[in-house]
Amino acid sequence: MAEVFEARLDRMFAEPPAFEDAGVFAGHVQSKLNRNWATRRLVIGALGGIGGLIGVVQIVSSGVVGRMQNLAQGAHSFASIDLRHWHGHLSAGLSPATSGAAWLGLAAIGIAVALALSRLIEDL
Amino acid sequence: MALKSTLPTLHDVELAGLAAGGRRDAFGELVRRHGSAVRGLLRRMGAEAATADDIAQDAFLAAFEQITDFRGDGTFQSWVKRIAARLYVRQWRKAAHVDLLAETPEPDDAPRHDGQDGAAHRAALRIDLDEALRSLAEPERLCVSLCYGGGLSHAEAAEALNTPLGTVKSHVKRGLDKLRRRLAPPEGDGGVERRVHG
Repeated sequence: MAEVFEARLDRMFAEPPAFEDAGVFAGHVQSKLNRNWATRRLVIGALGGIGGLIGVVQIVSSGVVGRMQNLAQGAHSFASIDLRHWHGHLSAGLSPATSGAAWLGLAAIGIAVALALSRLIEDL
Repeated sequence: MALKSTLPTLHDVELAGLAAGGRRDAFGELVRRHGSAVRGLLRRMGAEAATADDIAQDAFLAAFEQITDFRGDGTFQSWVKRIAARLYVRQWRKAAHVDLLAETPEPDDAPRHDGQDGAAHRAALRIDLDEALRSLAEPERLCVSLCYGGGLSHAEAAEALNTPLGTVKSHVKRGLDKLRRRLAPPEGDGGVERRVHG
């Protein structure tokens, strides 16, 4: 008999009360979920952007552009590849007048890569 | 990929799988299906309406965070109810109600009768249960609701309440005795035994 009563009690507990504002409650949970999700994306994106900027600064401060120049100068000794044309462009790009634009371009690329990576990590 | 319009036709386990993949709309469907059950459980455990709703929301948000832990072994509803029950117990303990577990006031019993059919009968059952639960002492109500509504074993309830297992068992037994007297048909059906959980 005890099992019968407990089974009945289980059924009673399983019978959910009817709430008139059930839809409102579900809406509140959904909006909180969306808000948390948006905040998380914003934080991940911001951290990715900051990471990208740090990466660009690291690349620039390591003198990679100078090394690229050296590579280009050394490479023109190969008979099949003539990099003088590209070397000229690179040198022009690094002239004082346009170096700011070059850095901005590099930073933009870095940020784009960082954002893409952060999106990828988020999706994983 | 399931369209939003097809979500209501999917099983809970399928919806949980979609939610685990980041589909918040799939999780929203689960909230629509089981929100009332979780809110009802918390109120039956003794939470005020506003508190119950806050905890239920937190429980669903926590469930979404842990959705990959749900493997479909039990029902989604029982899984999220357990989360909610534990959240409520944590809050209840913070409010320094633990001492209440040590003592139980004497019952205020009056046999009740239910004898209808179908939806009206189920509604009557709900009302009867809610009324009967209100007649229990707070620790009895909490322990019975945890074990029968929240699906926790006696041992799990004792751990959640940070109370000896024997204390939980005696609260459950006293609570069941009172519920039985309140909910039994007029002719009654004898003494009460305790179900052995975990």
